[in-house]
Amino acid sequence: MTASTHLRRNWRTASDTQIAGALSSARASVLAFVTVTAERGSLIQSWIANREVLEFEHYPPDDLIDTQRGSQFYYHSHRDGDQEHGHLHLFWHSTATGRRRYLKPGKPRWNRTEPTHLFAISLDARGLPVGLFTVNQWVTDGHWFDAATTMACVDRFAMGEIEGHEQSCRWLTGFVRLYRPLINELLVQRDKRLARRSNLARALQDRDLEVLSLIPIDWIADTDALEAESVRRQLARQRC
Amino acid sequence: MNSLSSTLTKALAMAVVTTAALSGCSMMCRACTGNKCGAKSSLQKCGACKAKCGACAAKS
Repeated sequence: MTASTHLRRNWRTASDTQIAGALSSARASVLAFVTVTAERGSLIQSWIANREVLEFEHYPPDDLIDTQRGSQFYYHSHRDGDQEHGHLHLFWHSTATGRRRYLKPGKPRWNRTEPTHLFAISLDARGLPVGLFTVNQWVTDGHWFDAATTMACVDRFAMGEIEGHEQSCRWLTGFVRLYRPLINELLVQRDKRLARRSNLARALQDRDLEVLSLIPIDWIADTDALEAESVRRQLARQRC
Repeated sequence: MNSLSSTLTKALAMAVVTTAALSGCSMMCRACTGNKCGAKSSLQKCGACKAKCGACAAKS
C-alpha cells in the first residue's frame, strides 16, 4: 500500500500549525507503539495479557475507560479478513444532544444508554493498525449522530494514562489525532451510504447493514508522507 | 525512508504475532437482540441471557 491520497491532499493544504500538531501526534503514537511492542510484545499482547483470544471477548475484560474524559475502548476479534486479527471499538460518553455525559459519583458505569460508538480500528496480528471502519447503530447501540457531531466527539476523545495501559492509551490518543482527516472522511462516507436509504431509523437497525464504511490504511507510509511534507515546508522556507 | 517509519518498521520486526482468535461464545448477540459489539455494560446485561438460555454452559 501507499500513503493515503486523502491524507496527503489534506496535509498539502494544512497550515504549518496543523502539520506541527499532526507530526507531534505521530511522534507520540509511534513512540508509544515502539515502547509497548518492546515491553509487552505488541499492543494486542498488552490487552490480552497472556490470555488466549476468544471470539467476541473484550480485552481488557472490562474495557479501558477514562471517566474524566468520557472515553472508552476495547479490543476484540471476530471478523474474517485478509489482514485483520481484530479491532478496537472507540466510544465517547455522550448525551442525546452530543454533549458530554458525566457519570454520577459512586457510579462507575452508566445505566440508561450506551456510550456513542465513534469508529473502529483494525489491527493485524502484530498490532499494526491496518484499517478504519464504522458500524451501524444496532451493532453497538448508543446515541446516533451525523458525521459533523460524531467528529466533535472524536475531537474530544482522549485516553489518559490508565495504570498498566499507559502506552496503549498514549498510542491511541496520538493515532486518533494523526488520522483526524481520514476519520472525518470515513464518517462522511458512512453518512453518504445511509443517505441512500429512505428511512434512516429503519436503516440504523437493519441487520443486513453492519459495516457502513471502511478505509484501509498504511500507517508506515502515512507517517512517511507526513514527515516528507514537514521537510518540504522547511526546505521551502530555507529557499525564501 | 524517514525516521518515524524506520522506527516503526524496526519495532514491527520484533513484535509478537498473536494467534487467531478461538471460537468463543457469540450467543450474546445472536441468541438475543442485544447489540453485538457494544461497550462493556451491554455485555453485562447479556449475562442474564447466558443464565437463561444456557448456551454458554458448554464453555465453562
